[in-house]
Amino acid sequence: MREHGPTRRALLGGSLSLVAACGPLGRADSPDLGNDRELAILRRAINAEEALIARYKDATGRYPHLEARLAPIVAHHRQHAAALRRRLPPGVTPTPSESPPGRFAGRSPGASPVRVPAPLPDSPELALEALGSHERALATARIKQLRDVSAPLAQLLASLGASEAGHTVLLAEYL
Amino acid sequence: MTPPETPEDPLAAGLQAALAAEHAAIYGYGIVGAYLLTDQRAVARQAWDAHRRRRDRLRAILAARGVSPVSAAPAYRLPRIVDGPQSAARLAARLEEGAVDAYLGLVAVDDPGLRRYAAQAMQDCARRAAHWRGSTSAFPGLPPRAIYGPTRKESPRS
Repeated sequence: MREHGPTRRALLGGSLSLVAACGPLGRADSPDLGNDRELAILRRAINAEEALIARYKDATGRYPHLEARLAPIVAHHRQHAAALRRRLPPGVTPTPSESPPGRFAGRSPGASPVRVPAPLPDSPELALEALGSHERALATARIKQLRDVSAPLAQLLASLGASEAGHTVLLAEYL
Repeated sequence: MTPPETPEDPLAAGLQAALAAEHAAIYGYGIVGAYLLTDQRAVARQAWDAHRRRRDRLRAILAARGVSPVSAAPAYRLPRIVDGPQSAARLAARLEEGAVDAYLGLVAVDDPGLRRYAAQAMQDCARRAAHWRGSTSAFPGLPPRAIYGPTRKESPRS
């Protein structure tokens, strides 16, 4: 059996990204919106991002000293929402009329477990905790959203989930 | 055993890339642990264990598919000098980010179980990366060309 380690001295933590080797990432060979499920997932995900951004705004409005620390996280969520919006087909709005943003999304395949956000608790520490729980719920929901979506959309959703998982750590370590 | 994976088998390639990243992380944490202060050493130890579990699982998955799992390199070149707790933490962050990159490739496969496994691994690695680096990125693992996907209907900032 031949040795097929990368090289005798692979670069540690260096160019390990083998994304390219695995093909479909970002290639425009199939539209992301092959079906209604993908559209539903995109809409829910966009709404969930907007709801979370609103919650961060609420937090920094009430506790301005958190602004500097939360701003980078909010910026990520704005980027997430923008990336998701871009995958909507032309002419499709992010929010279907029967499902306003932030409403509990219970049954559809893209359903997020995030309910309409409860008002933030009355202390900055508890607010950070609540935001952390919200991020965690989003990250968990991403795992379920991956089923039966196109590879590029799956990779985007997985990346958003990883970003949110990282946010939970930052928020916990701010405490 | 059958010959190593072929480029035509993206699933095996994704598994092998993830396994290679786990090998690198396991090697790297051996160095990281030696330079960390006591409290952080326990965190590194847990991370090392987590990477070993993933390595074993990936090996088992590959073996079950009749593919010979990629070996660890005998040595790895460090991306930067590690000479204290801070540089050790930066290396740990780099290892975790490398693993995130590798698992992202595996998310592209059709197998729903592997997709889920890879996405969960990305989240675990991203959490540890956030701990070591003290910051995060908006799109872990995704190269810029993939972020906004195939449809480009508007300018990046509206």
